Amino acid sequence: MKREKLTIAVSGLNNTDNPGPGVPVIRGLRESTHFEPRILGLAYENMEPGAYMEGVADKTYLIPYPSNGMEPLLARLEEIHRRDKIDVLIPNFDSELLPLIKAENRLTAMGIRTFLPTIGQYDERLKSNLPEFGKKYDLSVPGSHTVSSALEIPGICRELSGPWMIKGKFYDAVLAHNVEQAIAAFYRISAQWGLPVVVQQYISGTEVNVVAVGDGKGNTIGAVPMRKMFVTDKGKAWSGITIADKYLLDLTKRIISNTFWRGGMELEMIRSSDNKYYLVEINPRIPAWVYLAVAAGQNLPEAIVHLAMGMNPEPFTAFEAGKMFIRYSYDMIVDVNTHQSFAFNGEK
Amino acid sequence: MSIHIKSGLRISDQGLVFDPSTGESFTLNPTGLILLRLMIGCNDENEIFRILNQDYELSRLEFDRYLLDFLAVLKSMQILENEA
Repeated sequence: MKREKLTIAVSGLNNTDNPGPGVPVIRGLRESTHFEPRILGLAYENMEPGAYMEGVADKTYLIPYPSNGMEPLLARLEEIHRRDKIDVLIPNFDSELLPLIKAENRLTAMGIRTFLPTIGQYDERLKSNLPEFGKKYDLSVPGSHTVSSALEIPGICRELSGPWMIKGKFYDAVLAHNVEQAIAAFYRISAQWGLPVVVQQYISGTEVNVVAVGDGKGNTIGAVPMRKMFVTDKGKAWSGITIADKYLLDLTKRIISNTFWRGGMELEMIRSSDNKYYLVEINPRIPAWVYLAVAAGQNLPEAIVHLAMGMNPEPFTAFEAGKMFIRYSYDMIVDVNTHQSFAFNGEK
Repeated sequence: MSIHIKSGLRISDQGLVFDPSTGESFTLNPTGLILLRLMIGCNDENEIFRILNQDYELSRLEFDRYLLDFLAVLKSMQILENEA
């Protein structure tokens, strides 16, 4: 069967110890049996490893951070699109998602397709809105408060029993065992990621996550749960294993059905020792461990491209439980000219 | 007593047990492996004792004591569905 040629732009090439999902998304796209992708990597920094890795991006462009304003980012995407027609864009950074969701009509007018959550879906699952989300959809969530000043922390620590996770609005989470640690974490995280910061009750248990894709009509196109087996000091999974957890799968389907979720998502859950499940976070994008789902039988990045192209992919009905991933680090050797040329010209 | 072991466990000949519903795995010694396989095939403790007694010199008192210990281990591993 002749595969359709598609040009797909993917960000999140920062394959560091806290990796973005770009490289595993691209690995999934390259394994598509339906289309032949030409991959345009979009990098915010000239040192993002994915830009230099063999067999990942066919071409990589530097793009400006959304924090520099939406117009420069859109202008850059428009310029890239003029030279290298983009069929589908898969953004993978939390901080670029909202601006790109807001710019969906402009992107569509340019001819660039995306398949992202709506603004309502994005806002509803924000860490700061998690208690209301839990109440609305009948989910157990840890107690939490949003804070904008360190002065609020002692009162919150009296109200919620500790320890607490102090979380940035996009990234980062620090475990605090007393008020002093909570305040120190507040200052560090707010300096890096801005305000507000979330103080969330820590739930002890096994970390289980689900990667899933919703079609925006309430249907789950695919879902694969994973138990973290080894985590880094940042709490990121360094290895994990797919699990056939029926409760998690049913819960995922219920959330997607109730919210009419559109696009990729990651549910971060804790399973306590008495087998209760707590939802601690919903990420509105594919996570960095998505290639495990691909290897287990669900090519979710491919499904997102199909959805973006207006096709109706068949929902996945199975995956292989007991598949593991183990991350590794690897020193690539790069010629300084390659790096300088990329930094200077903004493309490679 | 009726013993019910969680279904779907993957058990290797070396005694590695993997529970695909939770992702947990653990190892059994050769005796534990024999006992778990017996429990999967048969949930009646009297029948398990009868089969074991054919190959091993074992009093009913010893069997009952070791069985209770082993069931407690399986329960802590969350692979014992129920015991009635």
